Amino acid sequence: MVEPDPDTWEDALTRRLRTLLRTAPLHQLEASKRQRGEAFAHQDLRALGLRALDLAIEHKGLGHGASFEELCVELEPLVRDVDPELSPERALEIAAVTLEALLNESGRRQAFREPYLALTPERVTHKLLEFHLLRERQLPDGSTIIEPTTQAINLYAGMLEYEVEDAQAAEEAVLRSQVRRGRIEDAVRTAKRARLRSIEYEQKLVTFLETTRRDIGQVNWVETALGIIDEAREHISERLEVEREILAAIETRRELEGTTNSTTSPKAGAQLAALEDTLNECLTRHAKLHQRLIRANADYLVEHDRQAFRPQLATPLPDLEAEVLSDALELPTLALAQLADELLARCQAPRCPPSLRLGALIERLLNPRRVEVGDYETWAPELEEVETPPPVFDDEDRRRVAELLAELRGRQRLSELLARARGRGYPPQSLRLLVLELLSAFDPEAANAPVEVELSDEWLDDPTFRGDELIVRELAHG
Amino acid sequence: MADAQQLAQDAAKLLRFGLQPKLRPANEADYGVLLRRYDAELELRGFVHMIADGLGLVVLGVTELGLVLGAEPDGPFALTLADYRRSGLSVEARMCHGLIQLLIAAYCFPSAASLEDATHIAGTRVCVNRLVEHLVNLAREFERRANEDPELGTKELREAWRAVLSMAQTRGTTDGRSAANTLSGMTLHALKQLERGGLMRKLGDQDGGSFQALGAYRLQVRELAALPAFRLVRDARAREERG
Repeated sequence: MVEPDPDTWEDALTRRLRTLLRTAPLHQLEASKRQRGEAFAHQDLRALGLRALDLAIEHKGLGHGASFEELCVELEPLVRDVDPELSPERALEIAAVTLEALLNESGRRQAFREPYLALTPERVTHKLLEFHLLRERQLPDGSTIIEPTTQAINLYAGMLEYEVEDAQAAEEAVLRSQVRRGRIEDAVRTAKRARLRSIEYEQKLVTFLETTRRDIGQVNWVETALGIIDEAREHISERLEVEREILAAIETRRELEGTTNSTTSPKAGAQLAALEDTLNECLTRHAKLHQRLIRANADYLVEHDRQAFRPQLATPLPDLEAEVLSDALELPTLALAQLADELLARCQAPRCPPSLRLGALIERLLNPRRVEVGDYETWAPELEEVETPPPVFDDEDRRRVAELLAELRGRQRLSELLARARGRGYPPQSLRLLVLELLSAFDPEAANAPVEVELSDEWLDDPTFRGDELIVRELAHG
Repeated sequence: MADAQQLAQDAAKLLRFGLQPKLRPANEADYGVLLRRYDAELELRGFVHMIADGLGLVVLGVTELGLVLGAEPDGPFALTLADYRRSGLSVEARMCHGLIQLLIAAYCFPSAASLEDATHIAGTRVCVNRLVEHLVNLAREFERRANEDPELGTKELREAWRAVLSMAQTRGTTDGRSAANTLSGMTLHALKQLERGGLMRKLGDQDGGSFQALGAYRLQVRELAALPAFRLVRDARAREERG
């Protein structure tokens, strides 16, 4: 590995400072331990954080990410190794705290921001380093996965000072020489680092392409982007070539070992196989990236057409918290209340207006109840004709309801009235009568309603009745 | 090339899918096909935008989970307070419902940079308790800075933050449910509505109800809410200052 040649000590220092700053979230996480209670005392949250990055990178390398919950489950054994006394639930909680810290959940998932002093031979300036470590990506099926950012891969690999392209070429040169000299054990280690580089490079390039795709105005396509894409294509072609060469060298070595030493140790065989697998994975990733780069220009043109439709915002977006919410809080209540409808319409998704087809509703209500006919014998009760059916509610029911409503003072909920009636042991039909009496107050033609009734926004909380909660009030006098 | 009638039908169908936020292109083959065509066919895209425009809808963009539509505030698809809360509301309650929309948007995307993030990135996790606490803390900050109590006669004229502080005193019902007219009840109502609209996903019932902002919510706030809300509030302040 070649140390990048620093032009001046100021450049080198600034670069190293930026490297150091990217570890800040891990140190802050560790420092927050004291406020988090006893269960965290024995844990090394920096180690846990790095392991979380490692796992996220590993899953990304395998081509499918892991969800927040899956990563917590994978981190849990490490937490419990440190403190076997912990319950699995508590251990998962600690894992979740670690992941949340790397997502910057407490900063509401904004970029980590670290101010620093940038030195040049001419002057000293205050700058801000902004970066993410983990991000949560939505998948088409509605689930989400956690992904490492380029900076996170860099941080984990401990290679922040090197350009990923240089690091990749260097790793491969080392790998080639190790394979040639038969140092397979070392080669396996180097290949793993090369694999990390290939994931990092993929992340870097995909982020660039996606940023461009999202907002074509951000990048000058002809002057900047095409140049970057050409370089990337060349870089990847080289990688593919070198990786194929190394694979061929591994094959040669395998044949060589097979002819010169018929008793190749199983360990060496396994190492060669692992080396081959890792390199094949890199090769596949690079081949896919190559395809994507070939399509990049066509994708850009489609996107260009698409975005031409969208009017570009002439005014920069506001900081919602500082410039809108805060100002709104200072408005008089009435003035802000008058904006409520527009704010709702703008902040919420569209609502399909419900349409009631009266004809269909009436038809459905008038339909006779459907009788289920089973092919089993049904028991037919012996029926007797009566002249007038007995009333559903008797005088006693009416008396009970009247008594309940007469006792009403101020406002009460229907659920409370029902609970009181049950407490007095009233039979179910009395409760039903109470509900019907109250509902009849909504009849526009009803006269002499004993109480005033209005709809509440809540659901009725009752074991027997379902529907809206009602607010019952005694009649206003006068 | 498909004729205009067919294009109009396909465009309307795509809008129909977009108006059903729980429908995913991954689960509905036709939806997926139409979205890919929307991406690739300039003509179809033109039809989708024109029909949406005629209906009072705005095509905000596309995420992995489907087409994201917004409503023109004066169109039939706009959510109004009357749909949002069925019973009559006091001026204070109306104010709070509007304020809570701003609170949630500002909590999820506090800075312009967080609104600029890519739409495939899921947003922050929010819960009712934390949101209400955040709002009350902001109001307390105003209280700390206010050096006098102007003793304004009516509730309608006092500043919103004073109303928030007095509402913060109201507790939920004894059985633990949030009463509809407390800050918690209103916040939960807003989050549930966002979830129904496909802008949030529900994570659980802990902390008063936990949700996660989706990329679609970022699109909605960025494309439809942020700037107009900024202007609405700024203009209202200017009117107040002129008296």
